[in-house]
Amino acid sequence: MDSAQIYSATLEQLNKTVVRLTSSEWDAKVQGAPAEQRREALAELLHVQHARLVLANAALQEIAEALKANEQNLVDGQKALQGELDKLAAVQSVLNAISSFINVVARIVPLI
Amino acid sequence: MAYSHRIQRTRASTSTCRRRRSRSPLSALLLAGVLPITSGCATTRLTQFHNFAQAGTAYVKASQVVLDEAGNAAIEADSLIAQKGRDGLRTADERREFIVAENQELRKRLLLLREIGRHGRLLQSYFETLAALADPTAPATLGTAAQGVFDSIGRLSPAIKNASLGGVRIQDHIPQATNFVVQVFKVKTLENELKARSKAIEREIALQEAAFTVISSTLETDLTAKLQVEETEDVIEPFAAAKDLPKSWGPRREEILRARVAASSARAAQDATAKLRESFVALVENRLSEPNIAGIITAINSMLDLTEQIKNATPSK
Repeated sequence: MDSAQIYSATLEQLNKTVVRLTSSEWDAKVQGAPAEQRREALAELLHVQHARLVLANAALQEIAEALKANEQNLVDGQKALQGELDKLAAVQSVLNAISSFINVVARIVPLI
Repeated sequence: MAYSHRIQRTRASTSTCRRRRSRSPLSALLLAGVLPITSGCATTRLTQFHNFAQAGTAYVKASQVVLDEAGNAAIEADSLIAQKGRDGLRTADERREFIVAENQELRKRLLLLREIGRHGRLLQSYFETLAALADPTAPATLGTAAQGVFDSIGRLSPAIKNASLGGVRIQDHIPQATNFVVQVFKVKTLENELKARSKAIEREIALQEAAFTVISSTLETDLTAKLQVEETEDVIEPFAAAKDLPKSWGPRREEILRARVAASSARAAQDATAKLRESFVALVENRLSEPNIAGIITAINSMLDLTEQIKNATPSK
C-alpha cells in the first residue's frame, strides 16, 4: 500500500471504531461491565475520537514516512480491532484491541 | 415547514428576450433549453448565462448550508462524545488537556470548511460576472473584474487542494479535466474571457466537487456517531427505564430514525457540484439546456432535503 492508502485505511478504521463505540449495543455491553472497565471504555472512546480528529486534519505529506514505517503494525492492528468490533464479545478484549491500535496511531501523529 | 426550503425552478430564470416577455419565468427557462441557442440571438445567450448564474447562486447558497451542517455535525458529535466519555478521564488536568486539544482540531476543520465556502462564493461572483459579460452593452472593465475574481479563486485553491479531511486528501478526489472547446460568441469580451479562463474555472468547480466528496464521507460518520449517542440517550434508555415515557419520546424517536436515514444520503452535495460542472462546460460550448439547469436544481433540492432532515433531528434545547 502507498502512504495515502495506509492513511485512508487507518482513518476509516478510526471512523468505524467511533461509530461502534457510540452504538447502543456497545453501550449495553459497557453498562454491564465492572466499574474500572466502564471507565476505561469511556477513556478509549475519547482517545479514538481524538485520534480521528488529529489524523483527519494531518497533512499526508508530513506523516507519509511514519505511516510507511508503521504499515505492518497498522494493518495488524486494524485487523485485530475490526475482528473484536464485529464480535463485540468481551469488553476487555475490545478495549485491548483499541488501545493497541491507538498506540500505533500515536507513533504517526502526536496524541494526548 | 418541511420542504418549504426547496428551490422552485420558476425562480431560476429571467428572460430578457423581448418577443418572449409575456411568458412566465418557467416558460423562459424551458425555452432557454428547448430552443437551439445560437450566437445570433443575444437575448437567448443572455438568458442562458443568467440561468447558469442563478443556478450557480442557488448551488452556493445550498452548499453553504451543507458546509454549516458539516461543521455543526463535527462539533456536536465531538461534544456528545466528550460529555459521554468525560468520566473516563481521572483528573482535571486530563480533562482540560483533552478538551483544549479537541477545540484546536475542530478549529482547523472549521477553517477549512470556511475556505471551501469562500471558494464557492468567489465562483458565484465569477458566474455573475460572466452573466454580465454576456450583455452586449457590458462595459469593457468587466473583463478586468472577471480577472480579479479569478485571481482571488486561484489564491484560495492551493490551501483547499492540499488539505485533508476525514482521511482523504481533497486533491486525490479532483475529477479528470473535461475536454471542451469554447464556442464563438458575438460579444468579444465574453469570448475572450471564456477562452482565457474557462478551463481553469472548470478545474475550480472540480475542486469544489472533490471537497464535497470528502466532506460527505466525514459528515456521514459525524452524523452517525451523534445520532447513535442521541438514540441511546433519548430513545433507548428512557424506554428501558421503569418510568413513564415523556410525551416527546415518540416524535423524538421519529426524528432520530429519519435523520439516520438522511445521514446515509450525505452525498447529495457532491452530485450537485458534478452537475454544476457539467452545466458550465455546456454553457461555454453554447449548448446549455433546460435539462442541465433542471438537473442542478434537483440535485440542490436533494442537498436541502438532507440538511432539513438533519436540522429536524437536532433538538431545540
